[in-house]
Amino acid sequence: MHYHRHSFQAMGSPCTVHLYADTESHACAVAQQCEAEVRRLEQKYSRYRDDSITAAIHASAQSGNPFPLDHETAALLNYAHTAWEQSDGLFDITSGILRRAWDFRSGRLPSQQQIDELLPRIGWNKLHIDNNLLHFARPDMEIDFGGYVKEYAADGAAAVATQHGIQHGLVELGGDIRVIGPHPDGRPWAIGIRHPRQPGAILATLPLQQGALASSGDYERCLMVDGQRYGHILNPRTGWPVRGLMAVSVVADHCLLAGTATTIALLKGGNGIDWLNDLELPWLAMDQNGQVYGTLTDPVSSAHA
Amino acid sequence: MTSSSKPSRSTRLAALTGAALTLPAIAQLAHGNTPTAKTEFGYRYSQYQEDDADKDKVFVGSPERYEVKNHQFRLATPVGDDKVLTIDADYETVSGASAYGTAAGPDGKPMLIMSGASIDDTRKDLLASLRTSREDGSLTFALGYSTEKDYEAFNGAVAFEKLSADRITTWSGGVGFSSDTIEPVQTDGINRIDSDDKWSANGFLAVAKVLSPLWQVQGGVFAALWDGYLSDPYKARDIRPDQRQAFGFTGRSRYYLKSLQAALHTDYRFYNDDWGIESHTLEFSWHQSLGDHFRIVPMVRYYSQSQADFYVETDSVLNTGNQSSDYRLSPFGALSWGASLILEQPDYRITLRGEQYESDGDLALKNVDVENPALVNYTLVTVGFDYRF
Repeated sequence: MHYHRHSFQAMGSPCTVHLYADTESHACAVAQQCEAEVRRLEQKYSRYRDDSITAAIHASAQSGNPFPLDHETAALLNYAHTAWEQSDGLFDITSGILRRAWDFRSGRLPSQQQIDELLPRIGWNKLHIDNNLLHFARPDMEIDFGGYVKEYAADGAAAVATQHGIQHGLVELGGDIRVIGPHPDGRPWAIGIRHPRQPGAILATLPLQQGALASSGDYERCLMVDGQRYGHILNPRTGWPVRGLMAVSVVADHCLLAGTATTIALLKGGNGIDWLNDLELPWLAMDQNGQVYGTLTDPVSSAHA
Repeated sequence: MTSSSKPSRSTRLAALTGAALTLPAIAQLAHGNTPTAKTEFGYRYSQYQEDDADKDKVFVGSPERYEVKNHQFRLATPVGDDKVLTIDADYETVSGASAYGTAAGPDGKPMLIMSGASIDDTRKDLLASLRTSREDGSLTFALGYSTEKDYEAFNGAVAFEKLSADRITTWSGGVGFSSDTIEPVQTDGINRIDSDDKWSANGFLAVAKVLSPLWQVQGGVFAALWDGYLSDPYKARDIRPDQRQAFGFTGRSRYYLKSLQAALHTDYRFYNDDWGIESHTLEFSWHQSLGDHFRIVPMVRYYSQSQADFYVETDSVLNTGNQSSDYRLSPFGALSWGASLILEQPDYRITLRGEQYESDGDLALKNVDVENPALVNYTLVTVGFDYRF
């Protein structure tokens, strides 16, 4: 079997598709299709493009008209609703608007007044979907698929590969991983989970034969002000970064599930570990003191309290 | 958030999984409804060997019973984007002897009269089914043909599966029909029918629910109807009603024990028909993963049935009306146990399976005064190989 590796840049991240196929040309063609699927979702849900569904939804909200949803978007919003419910309101795709106050490249903290002006425009419960029509309670609200569309795209690219007969491979979109199937000899993929504070260091290595792994942490984007770290995971109720776990990785059947589980674990702050335990999915987390917890830890690195 | 209002641990994941499964890309990858992208070929060889009848219970004839050798072939291949065509072919040889009838022995207890000549028959069976899968379910049509020296049958079936929008509930159901003709092999001196036929129809409806990511249950009902010649022409005196109606229900549980990498399967079936037979089947099997490639599945099954209204302990020409001394219509209980060992690789699967079955009057739920002497014990061994290409 021929091994083929295809790398590209999409969704603001480096992406790689690893595939095994009977011929090099087949592997190459399928990898292109995987990339096309990622690009389709990027184009459809990007917040930076004028021709995306996201832009159309915002235009519709401003005009006060309900927005007719296609099947995929309706299902993505339904998923967001479920995640909002299950996280007790912490996973909220209307909170992306906080980016207007938080500029993680500026090195400056926003003022409380800036945040207070944005908070009334946040709240998934201010939206409702009726008969596949999306209604906003306020015209100045926004929704942001960015919090979970990358993970969904990893599942989508893996589905495309499977559809084309690929049984062995892996899709990686900026650290979020969906396994298509193990190496042809049945060996699992060895996946390194990066250390949140030591660049280039590996916190744990995980053999993954199927399913998905998603990782998130305050290392991805953050502000350092007066020695204090402000991570990019923002509480939709306060508008301020959540202080809890430093890094989380979760294994699940689908990358979307793994990603949601990690995001909510970070949003839960001090209750993140309880949330992970409740889910019963394999996980690994590091708290602010550098302590490592979870069911994915190997005996050497585990430091349970 | 208060801990008292917190949903139970598994409902959170079940809710997220249910919502994720409505997404097109994820639904496509989810188990079960994806049509096989590859062609699969399977072969199974099974050897079924009945223990010899108890010599003390055989009045006339050899105590040797049936031996069945079965070769099963399966080819499943995708047709278009959403269909899978499956062809199943069976080739089976049967040899040995069956009970011709029962007579009262010296102590008044029934004893067997075994069929004098050893039976040697071959059954050939062909079944073609076409399954169309959709995002939220599937529809399957099947047509089959079966032939033996003295037997011919045509059958057809339609079955469906429908998933709810949240993927938590699955409805399934189906109907089947069969038309059979028997032309018994004639033996000098025995007056057998020349030819006769029967037909049968059956249907089922079941609903399965995912209670949590670790627990699934299914409940179902079924009904069946037979009409025509339902007697056994090879027995001395076997006269059965020309109609039979049955109904019953099934219950199933699949519980995954994540920490043990295992699953406990529990199956129960209740059966009742208008011949007076009522039966209960309870089966437990433990699916244990051993590393990434091996699975071992020990199982135990209990069965108990009551007798048919017209069941007789010993055949008698003096009786008029319906009567049969067939052990399958007698009251008895049975216990079987066995294990499968499965090697799973990306391109192939190897299965080894052994089962021991023992039936006895004492194993029945209700007290059995006089046990049928023909109750069987058997050993079943299966070797299977499946290849995907």
